[in-house]
Amino acid sequence: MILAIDTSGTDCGAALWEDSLIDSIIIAGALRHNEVLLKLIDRVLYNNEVKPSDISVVAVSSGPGSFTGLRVGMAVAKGLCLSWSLPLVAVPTLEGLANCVPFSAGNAMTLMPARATEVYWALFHAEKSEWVSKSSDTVSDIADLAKVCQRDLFLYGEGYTKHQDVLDRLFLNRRVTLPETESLLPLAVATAKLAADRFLKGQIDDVMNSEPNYCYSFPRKDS
Amino acid sequence: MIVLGIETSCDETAAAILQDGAVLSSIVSTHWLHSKYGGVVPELASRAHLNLLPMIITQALDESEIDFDKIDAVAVTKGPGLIGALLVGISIAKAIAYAKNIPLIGVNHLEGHLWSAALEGNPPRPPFLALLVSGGHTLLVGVQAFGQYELIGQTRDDAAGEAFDKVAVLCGLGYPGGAEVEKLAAFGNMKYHQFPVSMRGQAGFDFSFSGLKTAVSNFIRRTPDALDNHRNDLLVCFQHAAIESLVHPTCRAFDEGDYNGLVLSGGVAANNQLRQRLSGEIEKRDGTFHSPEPNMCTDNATMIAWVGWQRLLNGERDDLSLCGRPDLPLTEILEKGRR
Repeated sequence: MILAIDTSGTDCGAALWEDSLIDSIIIAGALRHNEVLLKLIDRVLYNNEVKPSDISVVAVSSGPGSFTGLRVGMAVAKGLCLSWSLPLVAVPTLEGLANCVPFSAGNAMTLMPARATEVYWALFHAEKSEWVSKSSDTVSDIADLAKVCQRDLFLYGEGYTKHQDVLDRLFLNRRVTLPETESLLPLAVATAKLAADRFLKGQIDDVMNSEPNYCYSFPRKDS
Repeated sequence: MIVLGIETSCDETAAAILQDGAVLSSIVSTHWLHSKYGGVVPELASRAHLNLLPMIITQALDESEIDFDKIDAVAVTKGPGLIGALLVGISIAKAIAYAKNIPLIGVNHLEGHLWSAALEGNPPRPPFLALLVSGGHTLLVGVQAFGQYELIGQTRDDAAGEAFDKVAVLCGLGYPGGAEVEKLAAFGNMKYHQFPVSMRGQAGFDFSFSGLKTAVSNFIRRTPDALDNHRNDLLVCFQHAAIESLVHPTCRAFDEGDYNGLVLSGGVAANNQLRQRLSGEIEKRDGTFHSPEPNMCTDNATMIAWVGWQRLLNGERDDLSLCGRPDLPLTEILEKGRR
């Protein structure tokens, strides 16, 4: 059974997955991840009568996203893995977001907010029954996204919500669509699902040395 | 009771294991990556803590030869400190406490320093006076008993360690440069120049270091050969003024209170000149002088585990919503103690 956690954006989520979704708890706009996350994990385990010994993998949404949020998620995941001697699976946040969107033909761009007018983004293309990555995780100013915009594009993520006005103007006439909110999976659930695939393929991460994908090296050259 | 202590408030990642107050292991990793920036870069510190802490905890467990399942409680620094750095330690501490189903206790970093001499062979007997001097703090605290503290004096501007670090950078010694200042000052001539000693002959128990820092910086600018030909002279004169600026208010406070002794702690307490000067003054007054070994003066998790242990024995504990408190004052404990 997989316990997946997500603190990459404003939501705080925990999900349990074994072959399919068992349960998830999401607090939308929780923000105070450090205060909320472990209580949330406790609750989702308790509600489903899951014992720690039932869990075989801890998965975490590993960025890009809010630096502090990512660190809280990764720190809690590492602490649990260390204590329970479990493997860690880190799932990229933008790939997780693409898998929140119901699968359909075309392209998806997922976005997380970065500094000021910047966003973290990645492109995915629909192939057979999965979203295949078409770009690396990148940070750019939203004005520069026009260059990478394609037709038949889904846009999704907090980076879109934050800059909706600009992005809608930028992508006008390019048959850009937005997923219907009812059909979206919470990121913690998509993270759990992707972690199950990764774990089956033997893709596990190092509990000692894993880092979130900050996307920014630090200090930045321009700061 | 076996307590795992975790400390990540600034640029040291540390873990320690104590059994009934005795140290079984203590691991400290200092982030040297800040040296090229001349000070601690908070984002880099947070990233380093997340990278290092699981390994440091594992090392502490290995060295103590204690099985992870034998740990009875987790104590973690909750503040004051850099919030991003504190959160890494707190998040991992909470996950461990939850996963192992053991109590969690948040510890005030400053309270840790107050008791860092308590683990030595000859522990201080309350009531005692404590001088905490580091790169972030310069405090005089009256300790009546565990949990009963009175803030007697503090710096009005820079911390003493900040002055040492800034003068080290001015003299091209890099960061952190306190130890290097002392090493080179040993070859200097005290008669070279007289820098101002703050608060000498004044009432009150506060400190000030910004004037001294500016005086050194101005002197270097006005004296073309100061760095090339007189660096060690300059350093010994600065060190003397800085130490005297600490000694005078401390001795005044010791004279006016009723204390058995003085505890000197914090990173600057590793300075041997300061230790000798203060121990002489306190022993002259029939007080006992206590300063932990230099590696216990700087940030470490042993002192956090020890204070956590004391608080757990008092029946205190925190729940899983424990927060980091970047500006957590020592006086909060005082108010708690009075209640």
